[in-house]
Amino acid sequence: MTKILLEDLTKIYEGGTVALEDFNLEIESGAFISLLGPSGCGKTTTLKLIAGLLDPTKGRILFDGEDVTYTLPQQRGVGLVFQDYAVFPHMTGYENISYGLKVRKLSKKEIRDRVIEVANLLEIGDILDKKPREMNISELQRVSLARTLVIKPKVLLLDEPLSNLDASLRVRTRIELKKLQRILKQTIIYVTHDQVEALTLSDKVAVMSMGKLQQYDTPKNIFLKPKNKFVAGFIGSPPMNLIPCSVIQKDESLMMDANTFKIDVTELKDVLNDYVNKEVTIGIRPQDITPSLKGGIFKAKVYSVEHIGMENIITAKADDIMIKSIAQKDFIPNLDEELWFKFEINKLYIFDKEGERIWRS
Amino acid sequence: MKRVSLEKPKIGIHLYVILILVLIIAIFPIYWLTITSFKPKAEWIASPPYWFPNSPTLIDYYVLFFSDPSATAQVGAAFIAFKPATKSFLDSAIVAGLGTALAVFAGMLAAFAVSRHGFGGNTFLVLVLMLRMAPPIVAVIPLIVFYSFIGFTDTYHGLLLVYATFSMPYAVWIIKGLIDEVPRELEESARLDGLTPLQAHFKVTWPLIRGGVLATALFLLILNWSEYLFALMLTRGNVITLPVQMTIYQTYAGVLYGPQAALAILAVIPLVIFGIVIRRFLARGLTFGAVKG
Ligand SMILES: Nc1ncnc2c1ncn2[C@@H]1O[C@H](COP(=O)(O)OP(=O)(O)OP(=O)(O)O)[C@@H](O)[C@H]1O
Ligand SMILES: [Mg+2]
Repeated sequence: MTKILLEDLTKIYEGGTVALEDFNLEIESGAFISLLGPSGCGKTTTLKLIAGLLDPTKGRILFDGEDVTYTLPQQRGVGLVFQDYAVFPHMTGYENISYGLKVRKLSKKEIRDRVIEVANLLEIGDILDKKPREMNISELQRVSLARTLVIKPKVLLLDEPLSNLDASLRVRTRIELKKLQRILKQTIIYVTHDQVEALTLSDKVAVMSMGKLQQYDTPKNIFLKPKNKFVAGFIGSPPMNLIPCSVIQKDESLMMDANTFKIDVTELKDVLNDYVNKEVTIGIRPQDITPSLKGGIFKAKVYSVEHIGMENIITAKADDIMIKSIAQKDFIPNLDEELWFKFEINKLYIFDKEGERIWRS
Repeated sequence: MKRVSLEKPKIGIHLYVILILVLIIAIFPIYWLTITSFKPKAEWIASPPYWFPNSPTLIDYYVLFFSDPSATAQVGAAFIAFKPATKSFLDSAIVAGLGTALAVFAGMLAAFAVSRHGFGGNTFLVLVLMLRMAPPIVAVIPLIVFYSFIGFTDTYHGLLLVYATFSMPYAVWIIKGLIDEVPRELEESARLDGLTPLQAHFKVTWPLIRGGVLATALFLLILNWSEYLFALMLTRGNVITLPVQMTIYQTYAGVLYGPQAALAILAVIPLVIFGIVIRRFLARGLTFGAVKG
């Protein structure tokens, strides 16, 4: 159990790629947190910095208040399960799992006991004699996890451990991981670009983009109170509609002008007074937009209809903006049909020009 | 991953004919060398040629190793100073063998530096290869002068260093390619277990690239084993490598084809043995446990 603090962590690779910039994160002891973000946003880099495999360009890493920024990897008590598993191809499952213990010069008996223990936990007792090339993806993934767990790290770093698994296996393994965490009680940092994984598994989610932390909060808050436009557009499926608007004043009333439609937002006067004649972005989740045959806030032409079980995702086009909405499964409009769409003002999110959220109900 | 076809490829009869022709052309010099090495002097360049030794003899081999006036007279070598071929095998083994070993070892360290530690980048790699861009003759003249200053002429270490230097660029390039194939994460994973970067190179990556490195060594050994120009220009009798020894049998009374053929046959044997020894490392296919999502 270790409390981790990242302070102004910055990593610039040779060649000038800024993989991580002024990254601050506080991870409570024993917490399960996720790093969530699109490909290339610096997730793996963050893990390697915490593990000590990379030196930061700037910033500090603290474990329980102690500065470990330049401590050797093996002295940090950190285990890392690599994105591509990094199982030694020339060793059997047993040799792979016992490797770390052998390097640490444990007795033969103790090594055996611990390998068996972790192999039982992960249910891979029967593949210990296999070479990696004879294992399937799920077995490789477990051997990789076992390799790391067997050294009993205080901090467990998991780099997209499920991304190579197929969908059903992924769901199963996800549940097992959650169970595992309750047994192990380690501090876990879990990297993924799958929001469902992040939101279902973790106590807190750190959303990242282009090397910067966008928001660090509970899954619930990440969804309900996105701090900025990036988080709003990244979380949720289908993603939130983001529509550029300008705020205009007409006599006593305030209007939001999105070219194709105008909405009266006089009731938000207190919030929007400073934004008159300025550009803002409104966000509205597809779940909160209702399509109908007549009556609504704006009209748009149906562009595509996707059937997903109990619901249909209707994408419609009004001038140059695309809007996604969700309808019941028996509401099936024709392509190019003109539909009305409506939503309630109190479902809106409003972001300023820089993308920061300035309002939600 | 390569797709393996279960069906045997169907080869037409024409293809067989062509393959056999190519094979004959490729094997013919070796065949000719072999029969010549068993021919008495009269048959070496008889016209019409003998396709098989008429009266096979071992005398061509014998005169390579033994200073026997009656035997040397039979092959016409009485005119020249006798130098036993044993020494040239030993000398070649020393300069080509150690030179290659040095090139491969130092080249591998350089390759790790480039591949794993970002050393020098592409500039370094191109610079290294530039050593091989000019023909060796360009380097020979200054080397002769330089070597005579520092007393390296006609020494084992002198020639050995030249061989190591001139084959190292190949070693760096080929081995860098091998290392690049091994996921860096394997070493990083071992580093978390407490290995130093250097230990990780040798305990984790080395077993995986061993086959390729040995193949590189064989390739460079063949180059150095048959190197002639540097050996000729930088030695004067203290060190005699096999290609230089070969010239001993070109006397002013004619070329002794039989002993030359015999020496050539014997010179190939060590390379063949080395090739067979490392074959089991080459054949072992490697699939890395790491998978890309
Ligand atoms: N060794 C390196 N040298 C130079 N640039 C690198 C190196 N490793 C990563 N990068 C770059 O740094 C950025 C962040 O990489 P990183 O691997 O941390 O992303 P990631 O969030 O893990 O992405 P993914 O989801 O694809 O795994 C990327 O632009 C990547 O190209
Ligand atoms: Mg990554």
